Amino acid sequence: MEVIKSFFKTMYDNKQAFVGMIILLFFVVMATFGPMVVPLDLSTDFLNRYQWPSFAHPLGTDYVGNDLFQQIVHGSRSVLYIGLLASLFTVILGFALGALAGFAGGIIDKVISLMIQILLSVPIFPIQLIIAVIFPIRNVIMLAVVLACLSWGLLARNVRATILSLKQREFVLICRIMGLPKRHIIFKEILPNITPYLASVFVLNTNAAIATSVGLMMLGMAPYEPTHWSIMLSNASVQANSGTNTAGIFNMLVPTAAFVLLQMSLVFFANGLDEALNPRLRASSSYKPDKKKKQNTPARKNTEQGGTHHASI
Amino acid sequence: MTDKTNVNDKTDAKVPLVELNNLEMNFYKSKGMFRKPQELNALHNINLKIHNGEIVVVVGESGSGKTTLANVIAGLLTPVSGTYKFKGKEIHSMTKEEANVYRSSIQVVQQDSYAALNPMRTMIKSLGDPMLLKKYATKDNLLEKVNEVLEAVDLTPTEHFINKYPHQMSGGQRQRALIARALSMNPELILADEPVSMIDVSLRVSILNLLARLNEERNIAILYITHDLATARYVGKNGRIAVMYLGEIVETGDLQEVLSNPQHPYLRALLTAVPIPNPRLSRKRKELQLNASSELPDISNMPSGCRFHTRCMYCKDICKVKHPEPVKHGSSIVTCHLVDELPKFELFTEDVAGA
Amino acid sequence: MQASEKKQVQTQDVEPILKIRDLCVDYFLPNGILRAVNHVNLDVPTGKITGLVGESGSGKTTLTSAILRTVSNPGKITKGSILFGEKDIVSLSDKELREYRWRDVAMVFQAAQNCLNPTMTLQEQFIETYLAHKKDMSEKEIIEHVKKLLRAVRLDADRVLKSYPHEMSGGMKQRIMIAFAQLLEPEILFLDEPTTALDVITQDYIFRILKTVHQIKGTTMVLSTHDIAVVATLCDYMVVMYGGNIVEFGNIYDMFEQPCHPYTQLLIQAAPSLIGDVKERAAIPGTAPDLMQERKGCIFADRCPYADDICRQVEPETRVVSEEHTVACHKEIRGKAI
Repeated sequence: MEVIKSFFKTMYDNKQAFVGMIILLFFVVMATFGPMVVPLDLSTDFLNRYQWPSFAHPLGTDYVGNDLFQQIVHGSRSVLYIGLLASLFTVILGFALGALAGFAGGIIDKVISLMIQILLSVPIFPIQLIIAVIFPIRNVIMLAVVLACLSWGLLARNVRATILSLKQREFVLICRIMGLPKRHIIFKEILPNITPYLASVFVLNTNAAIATSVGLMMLGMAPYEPTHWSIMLSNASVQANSGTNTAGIFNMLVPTAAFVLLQMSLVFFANGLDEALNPRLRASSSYKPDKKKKQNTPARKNTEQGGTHHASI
Repeated sequence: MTDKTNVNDKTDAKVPLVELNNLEMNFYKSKGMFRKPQELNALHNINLKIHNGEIVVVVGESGSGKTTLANVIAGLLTPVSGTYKFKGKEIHSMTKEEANVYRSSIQVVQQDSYAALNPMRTMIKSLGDPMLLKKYATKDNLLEKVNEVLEAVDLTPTEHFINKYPHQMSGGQRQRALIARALSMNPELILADEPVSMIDVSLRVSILNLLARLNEERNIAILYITHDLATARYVGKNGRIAVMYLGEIVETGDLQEVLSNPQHPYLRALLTAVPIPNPRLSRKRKELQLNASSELPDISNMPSGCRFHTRCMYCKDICKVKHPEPVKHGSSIVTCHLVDELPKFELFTEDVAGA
Repeated sequence: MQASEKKQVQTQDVEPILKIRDLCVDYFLPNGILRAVNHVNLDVPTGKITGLVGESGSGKTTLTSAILRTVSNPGKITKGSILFGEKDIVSLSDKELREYRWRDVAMVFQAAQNCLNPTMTLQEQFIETYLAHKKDMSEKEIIEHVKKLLRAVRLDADRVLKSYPHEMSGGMKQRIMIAFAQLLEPEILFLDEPTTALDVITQDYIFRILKTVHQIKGTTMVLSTHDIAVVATLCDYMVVMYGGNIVEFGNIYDMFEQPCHPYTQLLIQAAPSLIGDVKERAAIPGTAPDLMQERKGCIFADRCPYADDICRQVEPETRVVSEEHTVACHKEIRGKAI
């Protein structure tokens, strides 16, 4: 309970993180409930193409006259799902393998480290493409799996390194001296030091996952969803001749803005998360003798007539 | 669990708690892929006994091997040769239960109180969990037990500290928390490795007094490792001292005796070098007599013969060639060829009253 | 007891090399303003070694940083002046600062290991530093000058100049830093806990070197430390700081034999010593003050065994005890020599 209360307090204190959290929440709500509330009409209506924002079309219309707002709302679902799901798989995989390597050591460590080395030296995207060709992606889950199965390398390496260094820390050594069971050392001493890192990695990986999913979709390797923001953007870009047709500016700007806003909110939120989960980074310290309000005036000046410390030889 | 008797007679037990005989410890420094690793001798011919409820002070600079010694006694390192007996039983040949008892009986208080505490856990967790795991407390009486141990180290009011994270406490408070943690395991020996080196000078005495008090009240033996001779007297008033240099114990004996009548040239040098908080007396002190500007030799380049001869002002030819054996001199044991020939040691140049 | 500044009786005096007047340094933190240095007035005696004593949080490091103008965000010098000769350090321009730093004052930091560039030989570093300030000597001349400095700190000059920092031991690096600090022959040398990371014998060695340097060159030195025994051994004057204030200043013998401020007395009493009765040592009760709170009365009142109402209400003024001894305390207490 304490953790949750102080979590929200930290987020509130860190204005940037708070803004990020609110925007992210907004997108999550949009993704969850939006499609139920907002209708989707994808019938072409050329008379209304490239309309500027109006009451009827809050964000304007695209190149075929479809309402942009509706598409954004519907597209948010797949964008967020894919991003979060892929990130979740990545974190689980990366953490599990990194922790295994770090704790077990020996041959297991060597094998996993080798795998990580390979993963980090090859270009991932082409391989993901190949996998997508061999195992055609039919749904979101599969897409998330494909995205995650090759991106866990960096996370695993970092987790392994952190665990190796934590194992040497004095507070862990003292547990060994006290003869505490391994189970306790792993779960109660070492892991809490990694959780803040994992949380913020999870949030940031969502960014990366979205970016990759966009790539796959553009190349047709993943199920085509016309409302996915990246698809919107790519179609808009083509139709507007990459922006040379200024009428189509809005069509390009809207999905871009949606992406930027989402990614920004993820980054801000991740920053706040790191601070919130790590007691050392929390700005507020409860070690104040009395809870006075913030003092904005420094100490009283009373020594104007004070003497000088000197040696009068 | 140890049987706590109110015996204040510290030399009661015949069998020493810890007994080290002819201990040797080496480290290996790799010299590249194709060469044999270089053998570095960290501990040589260590003979040390710690009895129940006794205080032993180990003094040495960095590089003297004092931390290695602490690690061996704590069980983190295995010596290359020699014996290490705990309550008369050789460590290697202990059964699992005996080894567990041995492990819990020796607790360590480290130098860096910040590194020795998990930054993510509050005091109640850091102090309470080990007690629960080793069954020294149950869920019901955990708070009470933790409060007990916090009070024993003067971290009061205890409610104030129970939920604190390490970074919310001052250095002195953290150090006390380390001592509290060691106490909670009901140890027979507390190994304090430079516990006050990272604390302000004005706060050191209180921590040292705390250790001395714990020794008196609970009959817990204390092995106090330090490089600062001035602090030695505060813990080990009635204890023994062992002075280490480059992996060897060069002088050992009763603390008051040894400090008032030091024999080994290295110890004499140390005594002249420790600053005294008294301007007149410190200026009346004899100058440090060490050979030129010779630095502490590297253990990869150990001097021949007596390890101290490169810096010793009394150095004679035999010192360069032959390694001295420990000999009894009065009530102390000194490792020096010239122990019978050395002039009487005087700290001050004039007769200073009250020294 | 009102003291006035007019009471500066200076007979056969040397003008103090540094005059600090009403200096205040504040740190602007998210949850308040922390006053690290509070209305400090100090005359640093020329050509002498002055010890600046205080626990962590006393403000001594901030004071030294202020004199070197290295107080960084969120800290700021908010009031006062530091007079070095005619110049006020607080209001120097960047260009003047660059000349002032290292030429007029230099500093030897704690844990010298981190102050040297690991990718350059020491010879290169010495030359580079010198040329950054003065261009009046050729490289050869600079090297000769440096060799003399290194010999003064008892180092093998030829070997040291050719080496990289990581090839030197801690004690050697500290001595190199002392040589470095002397490169431009500054008038004041500041040392911040110069021997904390070193063992006792090397420490004693470095002290003797500092004393020799001081005797030969007459450099004014200010040594900042929390170890009062070091000050007793090395210094001629002592300044005691607590919670950002200077509580007492004086000649070293006066300070130890007749300490007038309760904090000074307690500090002396708390220092572990090789001699003297073990039982007489006692710790200082209480905890360090919260520097963000508004100050009322004497900053030491909470922990002072002699404190009474006036101490808690009114901030004490500095009064003169004797020619070379001033204290900021309401009470007239003369301590015993311990």
